[in-house]
Amino acid sequence: MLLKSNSMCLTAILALALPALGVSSTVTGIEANSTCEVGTCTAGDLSAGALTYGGTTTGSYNFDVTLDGDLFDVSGTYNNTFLSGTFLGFYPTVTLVSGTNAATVTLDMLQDFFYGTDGSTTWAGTYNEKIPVDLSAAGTTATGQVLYSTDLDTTPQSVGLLPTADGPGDFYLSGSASLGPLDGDLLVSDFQYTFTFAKDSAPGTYISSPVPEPSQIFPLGIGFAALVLFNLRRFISRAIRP
Amino acid sequence: MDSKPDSELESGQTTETGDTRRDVARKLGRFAAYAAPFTVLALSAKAGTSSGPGPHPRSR
Repeated sequence: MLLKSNSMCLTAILALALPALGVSSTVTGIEANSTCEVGTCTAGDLSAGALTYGGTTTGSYNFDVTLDGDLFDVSGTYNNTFLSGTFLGFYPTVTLVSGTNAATVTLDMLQDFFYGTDGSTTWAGTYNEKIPVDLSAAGTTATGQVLYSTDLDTTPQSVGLLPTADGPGDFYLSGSASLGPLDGDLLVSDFQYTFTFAKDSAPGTYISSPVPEPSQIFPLGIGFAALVLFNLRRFISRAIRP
Repeated sequence: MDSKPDSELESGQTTETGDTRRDVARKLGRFAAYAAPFTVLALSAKAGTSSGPGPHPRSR
């Protein structure tokens, strides 16, 4: 009995630890200016390690990019799921470490989704993209788009290149599009950010599309709840008043 | 029994409105459960995401 519970504990610990150790069959790739920096980015590896139905893949990254003498730090997380629909979450921050030249940093998160080989599947339908960006200084710009294709419908289709945000400030970019025919067993996605830094930007200048901390968001949820509760109580008290 | 504000409540005491510590905890728990979906909504609306319909059979 003790042995059984110990082995169950060991299995649970391994199941939790394997993704953290990078031991996972799902492959996600991140490119910076077409150079693979995280995971593997070849089409064969991505399709072989596609996210399957019911699966989730998460990870973090922190790497440097050198462009025309400028050094950038790229860090953040990703969170992709394949439950009833497909979901991509890509939350990078690019910070100028040193250098004074103008630069454009393009980040691509590559993720494939595989459903089955029944030969009658389509991925057509409405796709959404929501991209909040935080630009720390004047002269910085940000835009993004998400592209989808399949193993049969191989030309990438964009949900829409979003309007360019000019820093400084917080911006919320969003778009939606109906894509098709997207027939095939494999959905190929590319979540793309394009960040530009002006000449003579100060070290520490950053552009970010971060995942909000729960500690920052929980008060917002509480606020919404309080607002709804307050109005609901007032509505009920008025409704039952004779 | 003493009447105290919620923050100073000890076991066996009641608040100014007559609630015991358990009542206060129950109300806080109910409010947290009520706030959770709003928190998730706020979270999903503020992050860089893309979603799609998922696979389905082709129409003949």
